[in-house]
Amino acid sequence: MLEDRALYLINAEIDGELDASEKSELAAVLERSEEARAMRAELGRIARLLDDDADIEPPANLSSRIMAQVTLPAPNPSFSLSAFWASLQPGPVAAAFAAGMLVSLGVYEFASRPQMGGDLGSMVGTMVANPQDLAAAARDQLAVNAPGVKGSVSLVEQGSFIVLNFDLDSAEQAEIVVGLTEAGLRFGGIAHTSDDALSVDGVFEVSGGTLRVVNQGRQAFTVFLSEAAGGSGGDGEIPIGVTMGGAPAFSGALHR
Amino acid sequence: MHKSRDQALVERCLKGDRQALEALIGEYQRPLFNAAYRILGNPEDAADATQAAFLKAFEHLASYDPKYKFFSWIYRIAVNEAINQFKRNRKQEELDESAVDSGPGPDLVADAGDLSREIQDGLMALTEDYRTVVVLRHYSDCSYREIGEILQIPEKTVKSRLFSARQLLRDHFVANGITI
Repeated sequence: MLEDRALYLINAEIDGELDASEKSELAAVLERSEEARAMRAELGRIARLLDDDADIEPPANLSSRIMAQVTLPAPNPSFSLSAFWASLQPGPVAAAFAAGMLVSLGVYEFASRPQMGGDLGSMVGTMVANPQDLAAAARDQLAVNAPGVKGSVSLVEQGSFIVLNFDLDSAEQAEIVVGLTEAGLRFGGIAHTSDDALSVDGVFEVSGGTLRVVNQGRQAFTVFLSEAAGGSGGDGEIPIGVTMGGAPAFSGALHR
Repeated sequence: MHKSRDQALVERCLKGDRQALEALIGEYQRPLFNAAYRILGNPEDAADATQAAFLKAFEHLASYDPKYKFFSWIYRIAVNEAINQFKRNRKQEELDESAVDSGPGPDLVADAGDLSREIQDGLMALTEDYRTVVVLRHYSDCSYREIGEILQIPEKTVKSRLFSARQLLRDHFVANGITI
């Protein structure tokens, strides 16, 4: 009967886990024990059998079965509309300002407003004093009619604010992108504007001088913008893009 | 076992990137499936356990701690799924006297060599504790430390189980007249 120590050394050798002194110790055991040599040979063969036993192929559809059942978080927006995507420059100052504005404004809660029309007075939070006194002027409207996404975006100017009213419906998850930096604008806030539409709370992001909103289904929301320091001064275009599944689905611009 | 690559893929998955999800599944479905198969002895059950492991892993992906290898983390989930499945099967067989043999399915039997089947029979003759360390060491090439991490047992216990399992396998082969 082999001692436990001898069995330990034989197994550890099989696993390549012996240090120099243990190798010497095993050599001495093997030198004096026929039984140890036989055990080493047998266990070594078993280990090789196991090591050499071939893998079997998983079912061909296993990967797709798993893919079909895994739910991941909603993807973060990825800026991929080539034309104006490429032209956008990071705007750390604007982004920092936008982040500050978001913190100070919080999330606006609108009680069943079918269309904003620039009525800032009903917002929770302070954006401007007596905003309802400001006259609203419609400037432009953009029809969105692309495979998988339909609706409109309108531009209204109200005092020093530029207000974009989005009313879109997408069959699949859509990423809506507004280029702020190249229009000389900075982000002021975003508000969900219809109880019939999906909330935009938590699905928007402002970074690198762009606003991105990722959502699916009917989306009615308003974006408040204002002139950035050194902005284009009111005659620029505001690029609007929509991507579906990472591919550009719509690209257009609103004119101020 | 690409720690940094795996972690990058995990981060992308957490942002909803399904290509990263596909990459992780592609990387690990085969070793996880084979580990599950060696523990369960049945390819259909192994596929179910592998699928359940991936679903559980991605459901709890936010709780994955990147200071550990993703490989170890998802292996632990898969091995536990396989062991739990094995226990459920065993209970069911105890309840159902007419239970069919839980060995390899007909397709696998037709494809696998005799020796491979003998080895699998030998593995199935071990308790799941012993079988699991053998599978992780010899089929998944895990070190003692990795096996300890995956099974959450001390390395000393890993060695003890592995060494005993090899001798039990030897005894099984000798008792069944299998030349090794």
